This record gives sequence, C-alpha cells and structure tokens, in this order.
Amino acid sequence: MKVLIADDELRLRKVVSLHLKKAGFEVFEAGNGRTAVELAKAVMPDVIVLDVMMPELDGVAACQEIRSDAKLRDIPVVLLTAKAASADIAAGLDAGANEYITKPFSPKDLIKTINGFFETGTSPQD
Amino acid sequence: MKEDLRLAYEYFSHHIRTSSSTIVATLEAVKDGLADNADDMLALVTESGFLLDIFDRGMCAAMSLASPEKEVDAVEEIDVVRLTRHFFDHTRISREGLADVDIASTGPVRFSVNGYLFKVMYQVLLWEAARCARKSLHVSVHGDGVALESGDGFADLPKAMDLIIRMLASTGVSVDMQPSRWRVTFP
Repeated sequence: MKVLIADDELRLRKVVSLHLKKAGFEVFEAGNGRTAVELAKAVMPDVIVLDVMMPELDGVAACQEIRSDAKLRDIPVVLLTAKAASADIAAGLDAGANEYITKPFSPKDLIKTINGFFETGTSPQD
Repeated sequence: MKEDLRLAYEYFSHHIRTSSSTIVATLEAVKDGLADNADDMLALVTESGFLLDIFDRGMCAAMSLASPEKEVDAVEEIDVVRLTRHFFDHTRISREGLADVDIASTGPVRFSVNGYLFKVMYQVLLWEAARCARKSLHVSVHGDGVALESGDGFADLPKAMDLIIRMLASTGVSVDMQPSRWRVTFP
C-alpha cells in the first residue's frame, strides 16, 4: 500500500516515514503542497497525509485540489497539523479531508487511522 | 495588535507542535527498535528540544506584546559570534536538507541589548534564514552587524517574518531584507 506524506519539516517527515515504512507501507515524500499534488498524480497513492502549514500550497488548498481532480478525488486524505482550533478542523474537513490529526501525535495513531481506510474502504463519498 | 498576536500564535504554535511531534515520533521509533542508529535518533530529540525551547520563548516574547505593563528585561552584553555558532551547532541534524551554512567572523562581536528578546528573536531569524535560503547560506559577523547571504535568494518566508523583524527592532536591532542578502545591524 502506498502512502504519500507531505510536510515541510524534514526531520518530522523522515521520522514519520520511518514508522510508516516499518509498518509495511511504501512511502513517498513531498516538502510542500504543490509537490504533493504533482507527486500524487504520478504515483497514485492509497492514502495522502498532508501537513496544513506548508509553503507553495498549504495542506487545505492541496486537499481541495485533490478533491477537484478526477483521478485523485477518491483517495483518502489525512490532515496532520499544528492548527488545533475547531474552526481550523472545520475548514480542513470542509476542504474534503477524511481525518484531521493534530500535532503532537503518536505515529501509532496515524498508522491506525491509515489502516482504518483499508479496512473500511473509505473514500470521500462515504 | 490582535493580528500580530494571531500571527505569532500560529507561527510559534506550529513550530512548538512540530518539534513536540518530532520528539514523540523519534522516541517511539527508538523504543520500538525501528532506528538503525539510536544515538542519531536521540541527538534529533535533543535538537528538537533545543528548537522547542527557542520557539516557546518566542511565543512568550510575542505574548508580552499584549501586556499593558511591559516588563523591562535585563540589558546584557551579547557575544553574537558565540550565539550564532551556538545556534548552528545545535541544529545540525534539523538542518538536514536545508541550505549549507558557513560562518565567518574575525573575532568576538559584542553589544549590549535586551538579552532575552534579542537572543530568542535573533535565533528565530537564523532559523528562517537557514530554512528559506536556497542552496547555501553565508553568515558573516563583523563590526556592527551580521550579513546573511544566499546567492540564490530566499524563498517561502513565513507570514510572521515582519513581526519577527519588528520584535527585533524593539531591541534597537534593525534588519534590512534584500532578495539575496539580509543585513542585521546592532544599535
């Protein structure tokens, strides 16, 4: 199963990628939202994990682009973010995210969330 | 003022939570035996703690903007060469993937300033210079200031950059930002 993770903080991205790889996922990394959308089109991941505060294109805008793209629109999206206010969560979910996880978080919880998509076959239409 | 506080909260909270996340994820990786080199992972935890401390102090300094009775912090003499090297020495792992940094100085450069605010915001400025510099960052500390130069320019400056510079200005330190050169001038 392929997971695309986008975060501009390399140190966190690397450590989370390590957890995901050890959990058996094939991991693709992007340093900003723009690269994430382009990489998603190229590799067609099974799940996309997006930080919200990123350069070039933030996670919410990237999520909106993913939802408006015919090829990508059914891929589950997790927003992984420092923005924990209820208005931020609402904005993320309105943009089409399936899940919203606030930092700090346990990688185990992220893996559990990702596995949940495979178990339930979740898509944005569900 | 309200917009400044919102920007400050978003900026510093983002970095505090990201550093916290890195610490949690790294310690879990070490605990679960996922890392090939536990020492490297624990060094990352130490660095993330160092950055967490700076951004937490930055949040504290920014929140003091809203205080009707501003505290007068102690004026102290700062060795800027030492502070600059201290910052970059303590962020080696965290700067992986960012610009290569080299530092030039001819000797100690000292001046007196509101120590708490200057030390915090100067290190935040160094972090953003390293993060935003394309390819390489040359830091030279001489005489009355610091030059931060990136031959390929700086990109993706955070929205809070103006606030960071204004907070430095409140200590008498000015920052002139040109496309490929930032000049920090001491009072």
